[in-house]
Amino acid sequence: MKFRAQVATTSADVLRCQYLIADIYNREYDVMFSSDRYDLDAKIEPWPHRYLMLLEGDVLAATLGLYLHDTYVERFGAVVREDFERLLCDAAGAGHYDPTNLREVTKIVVAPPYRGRGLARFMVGCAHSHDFLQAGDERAPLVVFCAKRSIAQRVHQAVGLRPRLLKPFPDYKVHELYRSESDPMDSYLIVPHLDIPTHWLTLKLPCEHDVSETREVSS
Amino acid sequence: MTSRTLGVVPGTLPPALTAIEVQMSALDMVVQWRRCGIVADYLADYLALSFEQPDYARSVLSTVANELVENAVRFSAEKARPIRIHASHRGDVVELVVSNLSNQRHVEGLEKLFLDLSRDDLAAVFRERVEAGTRGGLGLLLLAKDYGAELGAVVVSQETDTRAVTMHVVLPAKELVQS
Amino acid sequence: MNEWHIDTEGKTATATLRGVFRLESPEAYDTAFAPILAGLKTAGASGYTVNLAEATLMNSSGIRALADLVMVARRADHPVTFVAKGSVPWQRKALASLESLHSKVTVSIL
Repeated sequence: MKFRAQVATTSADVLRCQYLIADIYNREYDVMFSSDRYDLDAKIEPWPHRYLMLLEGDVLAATLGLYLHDTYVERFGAVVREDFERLLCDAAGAGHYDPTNLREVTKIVVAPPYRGRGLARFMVGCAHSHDFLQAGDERAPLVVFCAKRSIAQRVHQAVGLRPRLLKPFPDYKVHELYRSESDPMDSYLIVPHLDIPTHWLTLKLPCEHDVSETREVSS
Repeated sequence: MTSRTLGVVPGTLPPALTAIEVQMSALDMVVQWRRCGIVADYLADYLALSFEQPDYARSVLSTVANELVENAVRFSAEKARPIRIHASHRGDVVELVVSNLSNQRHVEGLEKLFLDLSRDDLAAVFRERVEAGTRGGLGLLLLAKDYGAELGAVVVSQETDTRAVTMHVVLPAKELVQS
Repeated sequence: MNEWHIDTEGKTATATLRGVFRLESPEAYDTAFAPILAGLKTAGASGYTVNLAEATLMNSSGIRALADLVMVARRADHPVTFVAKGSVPWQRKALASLESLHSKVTVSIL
């Protein structure tokens, strides 16, 4: 199967991404979305600012979002500047990054007919490219995300990313169907030039991806 | 496929003097919740013109329609599938018919509600639900208790867990006139 | 852009609701009504007023949230007054239900 990864640039493409995210997040986690307010205890989430599309022909097989500011990690993760500085101190050559200039990869969804083919991993790799993280003359950001530990291991680390643990993520009702005691949520930091493999960081979008027709057996 | 009826589903009603039908996907409301109110207001605006006090009628119709739209969105199992709403003014009554695809869990909730609605003292049902801390499920109860609406539902079991639900709400036209 | 607005900073021990209240769930109202709940608790035995006169529409999740406020007042045995417009159907009907929850609910119809 051939897939194309591209940044959603038209309002129609953004809407397609939002609808796929809304469909899956509402079905699996009972979450609603809003463009003008959020309330995690009422399971109302804010929309991301930018989207990556994974298309098979014209069909949107998977998508994810990017917060360009007001990241989840900052707003809801109880992460403060000192938490960033602590990790950046340990990261050689990371002193030039501004902890207030963050991007957060979020809302990773794969349409059910396309699951089991490693598309989430490929998409997360693509999401850590300069082309997706920085548009135009945006300054090089730090990257954050929050996820269950299993996702951080099976998706992010599996594609060679090296996320650094920032802090355990507080409990919110919106995640009650997502996280568990045995698989809690954490906030992570990724320092691009240290933690993103070069082939992802320099990947040019749009790009093509070939996938075997055989589905993976999930573990 | 098996079919069963909950509550009271009208047999023959007077012919529609005015009618309108809209169809949309529940996903549209998940993406923008405000659309529930937009649809309710649209149906209310359309029908209210038939009444002597259109502003009052519009307020009641929008309130009633909004509850039905919100319920249909919340209890649609496949959010991308369509919800259909047919609203008609039939002289002495206004009928709203809402169809959507739900699942057995939601239908069980509906069954419990209709048991409560069959009780004589709906004010007591309201008090009990509030005092028990039951957070949802008040919408249809309030339509019956406060607006004299007669409610019924036809549930058709389909493949696997899917249930096609058609909710019938018959509202006395006198509720749309301020006394 | 909200269709609704809640003012708890104007008149003393009073919350004034304006607009169309059709939030997604009772939990969404928990956040929206938090200032009203805080005011209710602060007012205590001297009583609190919730002015609904300019709230043109409210869904059942909102009425449920108003009922929750009444229950808080009832548990503390404190009075609460609702101000409503007789010409707005949802207000008259909902307040009849709220009155039945607590003997110290007063309804003032404009």
